[in-house]
Amino acid sequence: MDRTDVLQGTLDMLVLRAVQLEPMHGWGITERIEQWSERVLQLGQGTLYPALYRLERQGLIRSDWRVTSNNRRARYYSLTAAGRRHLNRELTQWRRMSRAINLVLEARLDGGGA
Amino acid sequence: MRRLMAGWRRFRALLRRDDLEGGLDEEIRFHIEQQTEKNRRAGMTPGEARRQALIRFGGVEGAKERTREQFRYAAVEGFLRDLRHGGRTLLHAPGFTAVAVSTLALGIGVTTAMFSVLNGILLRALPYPEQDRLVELVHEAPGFGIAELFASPAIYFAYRDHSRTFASVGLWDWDSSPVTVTGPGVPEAVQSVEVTHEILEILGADAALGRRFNQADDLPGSAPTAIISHAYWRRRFAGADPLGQTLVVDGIPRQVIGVLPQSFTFFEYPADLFYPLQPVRSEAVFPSFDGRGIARMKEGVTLRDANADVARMIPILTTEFAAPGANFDRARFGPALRRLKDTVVGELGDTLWLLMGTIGLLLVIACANVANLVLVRTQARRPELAVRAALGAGWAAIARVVFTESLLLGLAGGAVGLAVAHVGLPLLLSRAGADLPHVMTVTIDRTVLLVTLGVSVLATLMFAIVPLVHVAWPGIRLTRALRGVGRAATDGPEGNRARHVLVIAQVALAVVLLVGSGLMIRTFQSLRQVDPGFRDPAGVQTFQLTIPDAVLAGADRSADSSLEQRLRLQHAIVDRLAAVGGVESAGFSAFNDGLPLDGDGRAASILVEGRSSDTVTPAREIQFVSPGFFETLRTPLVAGRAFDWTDVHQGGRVVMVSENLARAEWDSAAAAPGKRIRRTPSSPWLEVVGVVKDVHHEGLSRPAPQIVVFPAVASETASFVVRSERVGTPGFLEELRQAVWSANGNLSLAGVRTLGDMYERSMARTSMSLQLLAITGGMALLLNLLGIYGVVGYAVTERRREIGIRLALGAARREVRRIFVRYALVLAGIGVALGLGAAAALTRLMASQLFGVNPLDPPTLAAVALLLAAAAGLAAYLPAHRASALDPAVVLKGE
Repeated sequence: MDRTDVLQGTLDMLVLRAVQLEPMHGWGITERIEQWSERVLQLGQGTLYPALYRLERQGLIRSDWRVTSNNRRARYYSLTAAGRRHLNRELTQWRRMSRAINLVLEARLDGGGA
Repeated sequence: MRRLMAGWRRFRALLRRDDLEGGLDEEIRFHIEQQTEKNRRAGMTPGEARRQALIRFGGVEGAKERTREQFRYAAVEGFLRDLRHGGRTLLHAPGFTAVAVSTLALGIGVTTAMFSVLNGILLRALPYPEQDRLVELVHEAPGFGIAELFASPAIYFAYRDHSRTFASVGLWDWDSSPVTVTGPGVPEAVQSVEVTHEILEILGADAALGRRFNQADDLPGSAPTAIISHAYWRRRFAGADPLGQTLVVDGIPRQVIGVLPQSFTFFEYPADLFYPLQPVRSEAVFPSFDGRGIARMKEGVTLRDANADVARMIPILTTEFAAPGANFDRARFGPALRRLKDTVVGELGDTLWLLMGTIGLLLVIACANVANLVLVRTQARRPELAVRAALGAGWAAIARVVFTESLLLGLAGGAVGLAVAHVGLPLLLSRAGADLPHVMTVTIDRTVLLVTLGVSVLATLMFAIVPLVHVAWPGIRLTRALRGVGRAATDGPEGNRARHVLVIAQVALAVVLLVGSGLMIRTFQSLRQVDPGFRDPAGVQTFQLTIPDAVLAGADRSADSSLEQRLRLQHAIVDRLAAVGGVESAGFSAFNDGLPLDGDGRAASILVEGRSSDTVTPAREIQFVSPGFFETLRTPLVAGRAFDWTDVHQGGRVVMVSENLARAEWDSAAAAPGKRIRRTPSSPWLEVVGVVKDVHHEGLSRPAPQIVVFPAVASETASFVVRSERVGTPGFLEELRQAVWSANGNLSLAGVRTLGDMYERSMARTSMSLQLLAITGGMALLLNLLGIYGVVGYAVTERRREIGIRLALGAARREVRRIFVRYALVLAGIGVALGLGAAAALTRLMASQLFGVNPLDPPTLAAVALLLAAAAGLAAYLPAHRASALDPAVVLKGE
């Protein structure tokens, strides 16, 4: 199965989370997610840019061209107010969901049965 | 607000597309460079670092393409996808699609056909340049209650010389009997028009060959000339050079000086030969209205200016051309100029707009029907739509699905409708053709195609709006629908209300159409009941005979003698005709316009003994008939006696009058014989010897004119009438022809038709309106049956459970049937009530089309109401019967 499909919903959330603290360019976002996830999550680059453009179209992030520390031009993405709200909603839901899944997966067999 | 912002951003993204496209390349390059840099720092060689960065990124082009998809605002692709999807869904419901498309096709098809006629005749310009400047010289005489008088040589000369608003004035006259062209070969009957030299110029007809008439051709006594039509040139000269050739027209050799272009038609007259009218100024008198005048107005002149100019010229006209001392005060002659286009179209415009209106109503009914179908279908698809909504499709997305489907239906309906129109138009024209002006061509042209497209889209909007509004509040109802998945999904009161409104509207519109048809039927009946003044017209054969001087074989060609010869020949022909086997009687009327309902006639003022003679009186219809004429028509003699041949041959002694004239002048028909009249103050008195019943000359819906009948006089052309049981049987006409030839072998019969044909023809327009209205009314009724059937059927499905319970509890099946029939009758009743109200308002518009019937004719209204109630009952009975036949056990278990 295509990995991007599985991660469709999560990818958006990760990207939004990555740019929550400060505006970042595309490569920076990949690096940060990799770093934060202790190199478990390696973003397929082929999916990052479509996601960025989609999120921008949906008004969740905005972009502008800036100059990097070593004097290169790059497109920086930052979170919009709508994006912030969206991210919070998604996070709440994700936490509920992952808690629920964890509960199921780690449940002990208390009362017998197969 | 948020949605608005999102929309704005999306819109901006669309504008920024190039920017994004360029930016993307740079962005990805930057990304790869950063990665390369990182790899290099980790100790790779520069080449290896870049290679690894590219591998890590994956397919650059693939990524770009996928990214582009995100900002390509996919409106068009989305729409096409919707269309494909809609098409597939429709194909999966072939029954629904077929019914909806054919209903629409019917509506759009008849609308298109009718609009082609309207467009061809009313909207398109005449085939003459600058038609807005062309007017027909029409006058009125309100003092005599006459709305329409045409032109004459006196009017032509007066306006030509004194007008300030006309650039050019012309006079023409159409002779309804053909002229005889002799020469090598068989004598040929040819349709001709006499024109002054301005006419062809006013109509913008340049000669295709040769030249047009000029002023010299118009002078009395100049060398006789003629211009021929393109078709006649081909026929007669087979395309050889006709210029300078000579045609012998009614015995006069005329030189052909020009050929008209192929595209030229002279109004609706199929004229092949044009020759100069050559009016004689010294002989022109006023009042006279025996020709038709047209004029081209100067640039910038309005119709009102021109009318004012004519009003100014009328006093000049009367002083210059009237008999000295004549008094015109009573007549109050005035201008009533008419645009040429209005002249050509005439009263047909009213009829066409009326028919267009009724067909528009039919289209609305068809749309209401389809709206109901779509509504029911949307209903059945509620679970599907609810699932879509639950999966995140917004209202707009769902509306788009419904709308796309409707649009597909509308366009398919339009396309099939065009085919219907293509097939139906010739049919329509064959019904109405005789009544339409031939100068205008009726085809499905680009305007018609555009209008059809517009109508299809409009129809789509009409029938899509109801279901769209219906899904507009997705929250409550869709949730309900979702819960109802698996059960028969119903839509509760809102859906019923929509359906009820549609059915009621349909019924109301059908009532309007049917009342219209009903009134036309009554009109037709009234016309049939009018006593035309003659009986059994189908048994009367009529034809015209022209006896040119050249045909009269006589040594003595002096004028008096040739007149006498001609009359003797006509007398002889009547005798020969009467001698043909099976012929009861025969007669003739002098000139070519002496028959009733032939669309032509002549009028003159007459003076009655004992009245003041210096006042111009209303013109009376005049007619010159032979003995046997009224007998042949079976026009009853009311008082006195009919003419005999002595009256004819002695001439100028006696007259007959129509009953209404006798009453107007002498209070009763019986008082008329013995009274005296004359034509001018200086002519001898003529004694009234008989009174005949009124004959309708101008159409059955117009009052019969007051007629003065003179004994036949010699005329080149005369209209013959023959009564026989054998009219219309094979060989009879040939025997009549032989009889004519036995009197003179050089004559040819023209305008052969029966009085019955003329009678039918006089009702052609009413008959056309009647047929079209009856067809639309019938279709409306059919659509109503379908609509009511559908709604009751739906109600039965919806209430299956309830019916099951009722039946299980012991309700009689009859009772169940009654519930649904009553339901339909209530809906129809409301529709009928509203429809009658609307009809009362709308039928006033068709008052001009009606005759002998009130627009609020109670029997018609009652009959229509009953008809629709019966139709509703019938349409409801089938589903009601189905409901009553349900097996309660099955229904209840099924739930």
